[in-house]
Order: sequence, then C-alpha cells, then structure tokens
Amino acid sequence: MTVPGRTLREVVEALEALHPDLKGWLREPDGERLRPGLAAAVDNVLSGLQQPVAEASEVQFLPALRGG
Amino acid sequence: MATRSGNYRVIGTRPIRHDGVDKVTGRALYGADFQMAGLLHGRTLRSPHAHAKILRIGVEKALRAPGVKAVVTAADFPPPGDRIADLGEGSVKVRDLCANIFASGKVLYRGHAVAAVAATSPQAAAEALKLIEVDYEALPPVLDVLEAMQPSAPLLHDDLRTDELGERGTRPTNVAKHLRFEKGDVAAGFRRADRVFEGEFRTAMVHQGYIEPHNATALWSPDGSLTIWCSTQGAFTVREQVSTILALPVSRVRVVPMEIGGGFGGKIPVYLEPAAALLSRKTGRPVKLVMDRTEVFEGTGPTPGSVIRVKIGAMKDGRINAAEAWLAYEAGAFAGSPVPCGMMCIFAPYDIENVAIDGYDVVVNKPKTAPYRAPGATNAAFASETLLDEVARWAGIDPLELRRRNAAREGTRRADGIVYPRIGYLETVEAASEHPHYRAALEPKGGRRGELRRGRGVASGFWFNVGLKSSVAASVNPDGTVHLVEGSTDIGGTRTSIAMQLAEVLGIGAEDVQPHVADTSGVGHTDVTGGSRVTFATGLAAIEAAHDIERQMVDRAAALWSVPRDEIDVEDGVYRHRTGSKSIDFKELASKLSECGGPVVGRATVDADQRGVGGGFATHIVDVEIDTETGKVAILRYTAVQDVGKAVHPSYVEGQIQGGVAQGIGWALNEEYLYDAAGRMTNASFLDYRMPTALDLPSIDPVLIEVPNPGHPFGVRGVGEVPIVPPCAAIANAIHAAIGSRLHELPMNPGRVLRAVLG
Repeated sequence: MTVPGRTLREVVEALEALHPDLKGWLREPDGERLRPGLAAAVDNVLSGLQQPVAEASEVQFLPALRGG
Repeated sequence: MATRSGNYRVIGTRPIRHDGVDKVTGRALYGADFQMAGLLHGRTLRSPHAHAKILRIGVEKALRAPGVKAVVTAADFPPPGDRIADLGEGSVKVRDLCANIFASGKVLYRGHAVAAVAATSPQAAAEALKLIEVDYEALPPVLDVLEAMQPSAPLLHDDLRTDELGERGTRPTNVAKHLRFEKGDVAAGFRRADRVFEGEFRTAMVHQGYIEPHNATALWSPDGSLTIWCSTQGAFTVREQVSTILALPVSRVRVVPMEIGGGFGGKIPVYLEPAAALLSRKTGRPVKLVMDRTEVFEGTGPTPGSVIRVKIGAMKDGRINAAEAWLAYEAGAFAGSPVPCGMMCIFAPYDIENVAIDGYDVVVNKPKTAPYRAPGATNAAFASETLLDEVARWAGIDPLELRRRNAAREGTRRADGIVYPRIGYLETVEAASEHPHYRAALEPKGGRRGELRRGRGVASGFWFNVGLKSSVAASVNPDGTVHLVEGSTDIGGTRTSIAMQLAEVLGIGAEDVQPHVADTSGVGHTDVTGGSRVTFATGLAAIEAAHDIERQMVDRAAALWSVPRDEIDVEDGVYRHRTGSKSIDFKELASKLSECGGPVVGRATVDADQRGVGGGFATHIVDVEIDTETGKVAILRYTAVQDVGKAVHPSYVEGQIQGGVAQGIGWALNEEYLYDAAGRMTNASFLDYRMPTALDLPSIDPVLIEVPNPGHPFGVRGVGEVPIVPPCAAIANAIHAAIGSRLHELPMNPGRVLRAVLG
C-alpha cells in the first residue's frame, strides 16, 4: 500500500483517511503518540510520529516489544 | 555513523569491574540490607486458591495484634479506571497492574497477593497474617493453554474479549489476542515443496531463577513525597508504575535502585513497591517487604508455557521454501505474554520466501508472566530448530550446512516485515562448522554395559535487541578522572562496559572513570536494563557525553594557550596546538580547569531505537551422554558461537553467553512449574525446582564472532539474551542423535527420556 506523507504522522493520517476503521487503532485518542503496544519502523528503524519520511520510505507497524 | 575498526586502547580489554571488590567482599548493598530508623517490616497474605471470588476480607483482628501498625488491601488503591500505562516492557492496563499487586474481587492464581501487613518485626507481621480473615468462593481453575482456549473453559475475566487481528471480539474468552505475520504465499510454497514436515511442541512454565528475591522499602514523607529503595531492572519504570498505580505525579516519587542479584526480565514489573508505599503512608514510617522463595515462585512472573505447531516445506537440496507456525502462550492471570516476540524470532535466522505465523495470548490461572531473557524466543526455537533437524536428516545434509543454505543475510526480509541490516548469522554457522568441537569424534556408546549413548546436536537462535532511551552525565575531576553518572542498573557488568566506552573516547584508562548508577532524581530518564540494550544504548550516551567533554576541553586548552579552538587537535587524550609546540594531556588539562573556564561536565541523552539497534544471532553445538537405564542426560561439551558485534569487555560478554546457556540447559532438562489439579505449584523451592549448578555443567565454551553493528561507533550489539535461545533445541537434537527418538516436550527430564529410550 502506498500513501502520501512527509512525516510518519502524515502517513498515519493518510492511512486513517483511506481506512477509517484504523482510527483509534494506530494512535492514542489525542493523536500525539502511537497506541501503547504498537511500534512503527521507518526504513527498518523504530520511529516516532515526528520522524521524516522520504519518497520511497517503507513503514511497518509492529507489536512493541522489548526484552528481558 | 562510521564504525571504527582496528585497535582500541580500552575497548576489548578486560579491566577489573568497578563494583567487583564490593560485590565479592559483601559490602555491596542490596535491598534486603537496607536499614533505616523506625523501619517496619511487611509481609504479604496470598491466596491459597488458584481461582476464587473474594467475598470478604476482615482485617480487624490483625490490626489489634501485637506490633502491627497497618494493613492494606486493594481497597487502598485509587480507582484505576481504564488507563493504559506504557512501561519499559510494553503497555499494560493499569487496572490489571493494580489487580496483580492486590487481588480485587477475584484471586486468579495461588500466591496472588490479597493483603499486606506492617509490623515492628518480621515475626509479628507473619503472625498477623494468620489473623486476616478472607472468605473465598472457590472456582474451577484452568491451567492448560489449550483448555483455556476452549469456549467451555472457566473464564478468568468476564470482560476479556479477543483482540482478533485488530478487531475486538464479542464473546467472553480467555484468549486476549490473536496476531498474525504473513509473507508470500505459504500454501503455494507447501504445494511446491518436495516434503512437508510438521510437529507439535510443548514447553512448561519456568522461572528466571534469580538468586535475590524481590524486595522494597518505602518511605512516604509528610510532605507527600515518596522514596523507594528496591531491587529492580529499572528505577524509572518503577517510578512510572508506582506513580501510575498510586495516582501520584512522577515528581513526587524517587526510586533508588539497590544492587540487584539477578533479574533476567523478572524484575521489571513491580510487586512489593506499591504495597510498601501504602503501608508507609498509613504508618508514617519506612516499611520494608522482602519475599521468600516460595513467594517468588508463586507470586512473581515466570515465563509462559506454550504449545507450538510448526510446519516446514523443504526441497531435496535443503532449501526451505515455506514455513508456518501456530503459537499459543500462557499469559498467566492477566494478558500480555511474549507471544509476539516468539513470532518474530521463530524463523528469524532464515531467508524463507513464504511464511505465515499465528500467535495467541491466553490467560490461565497461573502467575502473570513476566519477561525472561529473550522472552518467547526459546519456546519458539525449540520447535523450529528441532523440525529443521528433521529436514536435514531427510535431505541427507549436515545440519549446519542446511542452515548455511537458508541463512538470512543483509537485505533478507523477516516475516514481520523488517529488513535486516548487516548481520552476523552466517558467520556464526561457518564458525561453528569449523570449530574443533564440531569436528571432534564422539564415541556413540559408553559405559560398562554400553548403557551410555552419546549424540551431538546443533541449533541456532535470534534475538532482536532493543534501543530505548538513556541519559548520562559525566564530570571531570581535578585529578583527571571522570565521574560518570548513569541510570542503568547493573545486572551484568555494564557499569564497566559503559565506563570503558567513555574512556576510549577521552583517551583515558577505564580505571580513571568512576561509574555510578544514580536514582531517578540524579540522572535523566533511562529506560530499563533489559532487552540487551545497556552496553549499546547507555554506551552511546556515554560516547556522546565524552565528545561533549572533549569539545569543552578543547575550549579550555584554547583559553589556556590563548589560541583559537580550531587550531587544536585531539588524539588519544592529548590536546595539541597545531601550529605551535604546545601539547597537554587530559589529566594535566583537568588539573588546570579552574584557571581556564571552570568545571567541565558532559551530558547526553539518546533515543537509541533511532540509531540502528543490531540484532544478535547464535549457533550452538552440544554433546550429550544419556544413561539409558535412568534417562539422565549429561552435558559433555557445549560450544556457543555468537555474533557479538564488538565485545567491549570480553569477559562479561563470555559471562553473558555462559549464563544464558546455563539457563537454557536447565530449561531443557529439568525446570518446570509442577501443578496439582487444584492449581497449586508443588515444587516452589530451589530444592524441588531444579536449576543447574556448577556440579551439573561442563565449562561452556563461548566463541565471540565480531560483525560490527553499523549503528554503533564501536560496532556493539546486545549480547545477553541470544544465548538462552538455542540450548533447548540443540539438546533435543543431540538426544535424538544419541537415542534415535525426538522429544517434543520440555523439560526433557529423566522420566521423559527414559520413556523415549524404552519406546
């Protein structure tokens, strides 16, 4: 799936516009952070919503995992 | 970020650890050592039932007992509401967090805390527990993950609905979550395969087995501030959890991490801290709680048992073209097992075109699970690596050659979508293949009657490691030493590995850096010591703080010499005026700081997730000897090959590998929570919960492969968790080589092995 956006936040907003069911699933209600338990990687690097996204960047949504 | 190669002065050496003398002479202060004027002692009342409604809790008699100053229960918590807390190890419902500290409405496992008492002595507190009256209505427990998934199973939570691939289910259930990773077309892959292999595997709940029990002392001051001294893997996560549970601003909570006697992930959740805080608030005095071993087993967080089904499609040349896995993990009493981690790791060492992985997080009437060293990955590797051994034997290919042919490399995409950067998996396989252990002959039989059978097995493993956030501050002393303040509790020698990185940049010795682990008031936010992150992430912060110091020292030299700062070069701790003859080393310059600008303090804070965390791979070789008359498995020889990126302090990297392997061996051969039908753990002591000792293990031979992580200036990768991932499978494969039977259930204890021998 390809969506426009200059930051991860804009990518998420574009996804939510295309698929309204995703609203409330990717971000916290105030829209400022990813939902707890969810992580996002931009070009394989874990990133926050402010992360710039390049034209051919790849974004993945993953469970937030840590370790022991 | 460029990676240095070549010789380092400090990195790669083996200085004596800074906390070593205190640790070996008994001077190091652990939580149970803590003393304070007016200290009260707490004890916790725990449920005898695995599943029951709480009808009434009567504390009046206990309050009247000699020496008793206060009793607390769940009723003393502020209402948790529907808040979600983002902890150092992922997110959790605050309501569940509170309910695991003190049961509310229902007890969900034997050992579930119901109330706590503070008294003038531990004995008085223990006597008072007997006077607390709790009326229960016993309910049937569910103790098996597959049974818990059935629609007819007793339900732990009336309001739990499955998060089914992002959609909330409508039916009450014990299945908290269903996740799926998918890549390619697994059905087509299986159709093309020359042979499809399938297996079902079971693992038991096991405990991290840290030697030091949980402990916490709390002092709630009249001004409303709260100080906690405790054994923890993360002072800031304790602060976050406690402030969330008690509805306090974080600024009112100070957490002082004491030395820690092992954690392995199990000391990230809080258990005693909120109770100690509430008791201190009620009494106006400091209150200390220390668990005994039974409480540790029954009332903290082991790692889940699991059922895992794996299917692999292979070609005659050994290429794997499809892989499928179904994983069901016990979460314990509340949702949140490490099944996503298991899903991420199960096929991670391999480049497989078509993959589908389904994972289920399932609640059962057992303690709420907590992370245990590469949580979820050992279970997963036991399944996948055992099945791969079958593939190798069918194809007639050496098992390491099979792994080489299917090895993931830079650019391989994992099933969860991540594309690997530079990784060292192939190097571990090749090094294992060439190792003298792998090439040594192994007599297949021994013993006077030929009753001893020997076999060799191999397995690989992966752990992704994490970055998270770290902060440090470092001040230059007039004698040229540096006082380094950091926030990562030291569970593996990281004080020293962080100090070494700072020393390397500044051009001073590791012994000239004095590391100090500060409390939450003394250092910037630092995430947990977990996820094999500290040498990588807090090391990055130390490196940046060192560069900050270096910039200031250049300023000072410039002021000292009255020259422009851009005419000064620095190399190996020596500052030189490029056009003149002046030079000065770090120590001498430090002695003159008061003359040329004053103190120098460097600082840094990093979000290491953004820097390129390097995942870790390992390949292990093990020789076993089985007594076919008793079923006992002896480990004859063990070699653990691991890509460590760059071993900052090789002794501690080797120690991490040996420790992880030792835990993996215990997991493979002996350890399990044994339950009776009522849900009571019947082996809740170190006597009966059998962990390996020095008498059980040979010397474990760690082989360090260094494929630098491009995300770190010295190439560091996390090393602490990968070593526990391969042992169960490697030993299972060795047992098969010895006796010709495959065991699909852990632990592979003498009873199970003997049954396999006898057929």
